[in-house]
Amino acid sequence: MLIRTGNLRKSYFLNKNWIEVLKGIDMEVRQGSFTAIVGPSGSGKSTLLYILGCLTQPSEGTYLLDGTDVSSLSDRSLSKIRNRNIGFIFQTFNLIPQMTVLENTEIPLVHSGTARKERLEISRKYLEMVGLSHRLLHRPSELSGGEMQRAAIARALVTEPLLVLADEPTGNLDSKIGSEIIEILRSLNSSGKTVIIVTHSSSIAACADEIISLRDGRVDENH
Amino acid sequence: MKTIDIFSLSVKGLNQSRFRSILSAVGIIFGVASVISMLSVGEGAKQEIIDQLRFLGTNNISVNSIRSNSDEGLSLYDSDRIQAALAEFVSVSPVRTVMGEVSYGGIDSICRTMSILPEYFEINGLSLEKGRFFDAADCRDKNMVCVIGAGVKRELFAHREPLGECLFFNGHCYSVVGHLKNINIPKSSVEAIKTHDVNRDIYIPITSAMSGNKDIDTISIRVSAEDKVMAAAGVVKSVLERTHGGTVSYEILIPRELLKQSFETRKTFSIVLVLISGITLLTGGIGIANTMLLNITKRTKEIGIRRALGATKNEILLQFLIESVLLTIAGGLIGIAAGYLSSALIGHYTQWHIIVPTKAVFLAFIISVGVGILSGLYPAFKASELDPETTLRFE
Repeated sequence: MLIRTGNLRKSYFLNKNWIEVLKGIDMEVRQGSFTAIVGPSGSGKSTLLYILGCLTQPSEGTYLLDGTDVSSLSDRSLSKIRNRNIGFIFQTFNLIPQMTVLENTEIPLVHSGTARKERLEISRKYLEMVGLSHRLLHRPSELSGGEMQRAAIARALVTEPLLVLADEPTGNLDSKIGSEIIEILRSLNSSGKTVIIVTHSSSIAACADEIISLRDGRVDENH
Repeated sequence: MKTIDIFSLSVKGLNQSRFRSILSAVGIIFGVASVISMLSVGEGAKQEIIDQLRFLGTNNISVNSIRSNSDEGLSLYDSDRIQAALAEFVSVSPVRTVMGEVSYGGIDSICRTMSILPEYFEINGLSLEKGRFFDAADCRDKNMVCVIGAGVKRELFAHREPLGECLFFNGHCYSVVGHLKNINIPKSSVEAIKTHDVNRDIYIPITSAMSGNKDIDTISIRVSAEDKVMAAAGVVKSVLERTHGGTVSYEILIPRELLKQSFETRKTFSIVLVLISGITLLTGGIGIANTMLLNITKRTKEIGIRRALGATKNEILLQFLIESVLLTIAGGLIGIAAGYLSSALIGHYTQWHIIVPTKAVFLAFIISVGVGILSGLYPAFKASELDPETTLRFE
């Protein structure tokens, strides 16, 4: 198993109250699988994805990523895991507007300490793979939504992570472009990457090998 | 992450808000420029004081007579008693000064005649251009000889050779045996310690001028060891008190002391000025901190993205710290240039002696780096502590 969680809980302190968003999640994700996390808004699916992506720590419970208990790691180690083992794709793309597509794609390699020349080579390769060779020196604002998401996918892949996490990757795209993006994710999956996607589109969930359905902070077994 | 990449990120970051960065560095520029100008003025003043001290003699004591109706002032006896009391520790020369007309070959001039003992030349570090000083033998024999200052030579003899010529003054004819090198008088010395143009003095043996009159104007003393100057001054004081009783008929001037006081005054003054520069720098630092905080607010999302993609807290901290240090270093370098310029301008318009000390330039540079670190630390820490989940999900 690539991922195994035990009784994962997460609470936020909001307006003087603790709000429990995740109320004990037990889940497993096989290496090489394509998993969809679905559920209505507010069910905690994004929070779960952020925990799986080591962007935040669970309040309680265990999270084993590739056998390592992530909840006890230092910031440095967590950053390293995010950098090497996890590729993020966001609904709002999260490209840095002042940088070119190429520079944006390079960011994970900059933080992994890769030499400049090699960085350029790798970034170009992945941008070519997602069909953006003609957009290398453009700024994000000069791209269409689909192109921005493809740039973000290239950026998620440059450090060759085991795990690709996508938070509503098609949420800001029309359905045709959205299905192109899903197609890219599927082909990544067939090349061996583990993909976890948060979505509330049932048609996207239908493409997945596994579906984890959340309702009110718990896994909905009846789904 | 490689150090060079952190630097290049920082430079790019500053570039994103170029105008704001330049504006925020203005405080540092002024602060550094004023620190440098203040220290340059101070250094110039210090150098000037050292020059004066050298001119007046670090080991000298001078006792001036104050004549009044009730007291006749100093006399040759005082000079002798001081010499006897301090024996081998000092050289002493009485001085009697007369302003008067001097003539040679039909040219008249007003000069100061100094009646002295030969020791006077050594006490005051006078050196000959040509000829000789008069000596103890001249004094004993009351020879009518004189040594003239460079100014007197210029005025009365122009380019002719004065040695052996006869100067007429005081009702007598004095034969010139030597003339002195020109003495450079420190510019501010004239008003600061009331020295007059010693190049216009004529020196004669005190014995040749004395006709029963024992009054003198000054006793010029040189103490052989630097650390005994104050002790010697104490002895001089008690010797004179004994002979003159309570009346104040003399004053004891110790150039070393006078200059020390003037140095202290200037030091206080320059401390105040440096404090003012310090406040400017502080304000500059706060300006930098403010700009950095604003930059971080504007770049919260970027920080979140970088954190998600593998930046550690330390890398974010370092990135913003380097940004603020680069900003202050740039400000500091411009400030150093501005400091040189303003020092030159101050020197030009005030005619003060200005020296830009190398250590001030280093100091300014170190201060710039220090201000950069101090003012960048809090914003950078704040940036590094931003929670990636919050910045990406909720903003």
